[in-house]
Formats: sequence, structure tokens, C-alpha cells
Amino acid sequence: MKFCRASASASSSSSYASTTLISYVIRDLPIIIFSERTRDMASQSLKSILTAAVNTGVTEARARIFGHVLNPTGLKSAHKILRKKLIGEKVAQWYPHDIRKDDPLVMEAEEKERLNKLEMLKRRGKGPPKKGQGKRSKRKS
Amino acid sequence: MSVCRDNHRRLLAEKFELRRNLYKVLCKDTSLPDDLREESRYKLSKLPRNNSFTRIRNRCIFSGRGRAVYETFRISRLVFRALANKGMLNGVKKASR
Repeated sequence: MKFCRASASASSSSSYASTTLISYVIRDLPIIIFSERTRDMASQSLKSILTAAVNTGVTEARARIFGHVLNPTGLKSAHKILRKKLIGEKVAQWYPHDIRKDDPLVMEAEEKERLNKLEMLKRRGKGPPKKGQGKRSKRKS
Repeated sequence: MSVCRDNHRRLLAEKFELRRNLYKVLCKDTSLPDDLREESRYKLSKLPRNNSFTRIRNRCIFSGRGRAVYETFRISRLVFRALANKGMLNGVKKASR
């Protein structure tokens, strides 16, 4: 007993109006069983064709008016990257502006302090080591 | 110091963002010719590494701590605790009070 199922859909987009033919082939005698949806097969398919056409027309018109990007087949599209808002400005404003930077005198005083401190440490022998002599690089070699 | 580097990365990310997005889109779109996709892939790789958003870390603006930084306050948990106890954070009080 051979089973073969052929689904002939009037249009790909309207799934609810598709007609399904299930044919069982028993000893080369095709017996075609209609699904309960089909009353009059010819008019059903015509109606479904019309509804499909109307739907596609409406979606295309909507896309044209509002500037949507259509993808009825569902292929991979790079549109979703373009859809996103730009975040660069917000990201760059994370650190607030330090008003000490506006005053050059204050900046000079701070720099002097830093250098003095460094000098004191060096005098004691606690300054930064030379390149390649640090703890980590010594451990590596 | 890491604050300085992070700031630099943020500025670069802002500067190159649009360009980066466009290159990415061009190389991912399947309906475009292959040589254009290759070229945009190459250009995307040529962009500086520090302009990527993934390289940015939200640091504490007071202490520069890289971990345990709350985005709403932009400060780390230690500084948050210190300031909240003093009452310097507006509207923040202990949940047990």
C-alpha cells in the first residue's frame, strides 16, 4: 500500500485557505479524499487567490506609505542592524566633565604634587621598576 | 589610568559608530555582489579595535573601579555605600528604615 500526500495550496501566503489532497494509492487505484474544508473546490481556490492578492496589495501599499522594508519570503536581511538607534553619543558621555581641568593653575599644582610624590618614592627605592624587571615578567622568564 | 583608556575608547566608538554599522550591514547583505561584500569586510577589519562597543567597560566615575558599577548612578558599590550613608545621594535611603 503506497501513501503519497500532495498539498496543492492556491497561494503560499494564505495558509488557512490551502486545500490538501491526500491520495492513497491502493494497487494503482487512486482514491482521492478531500479535506473537510473544501466545499466547492474551484470557487474556494479563486476566492483564496483574490484574498491573497488583496492582502499583498494592502501590505505593499502600507510599506510604501510608511517606509517599511518588506521581506515576505523571510530571507536573511541586514535591515535589523539599520533599524537600531545610534548609541554613540550617550556612551561617550559617561564620565562627567572635571572642572579642575578648566583651571591651568590647579592642574599645574596637581602635576607638581604627583612628581614630588614620585621623587620621594624613588629616593626610598620604591619607584616603578625598569621595563622587563617587574614581578610578572621576571616570573615568566 | 584605565579611566583614561576607557574614555579614549568611548570617544572613538562614538566617532566611528555610523561607519562601522554601515560596513557591517554591507558585508552581511546577501543580495549584494560578492566583491562589495569582501571590500566592506576588509574595511571593517581595518577599523581600530578601540572603536568597538564591546571594549568599553562602565567604570566608576569617582574611583575608576571596573567591577560592581551600577549604571543608574555610574558609581561603584563602595562609593555608593559611602555617599548614601552621608546622605549625598538624593532619594536613596536604607531599605530597613
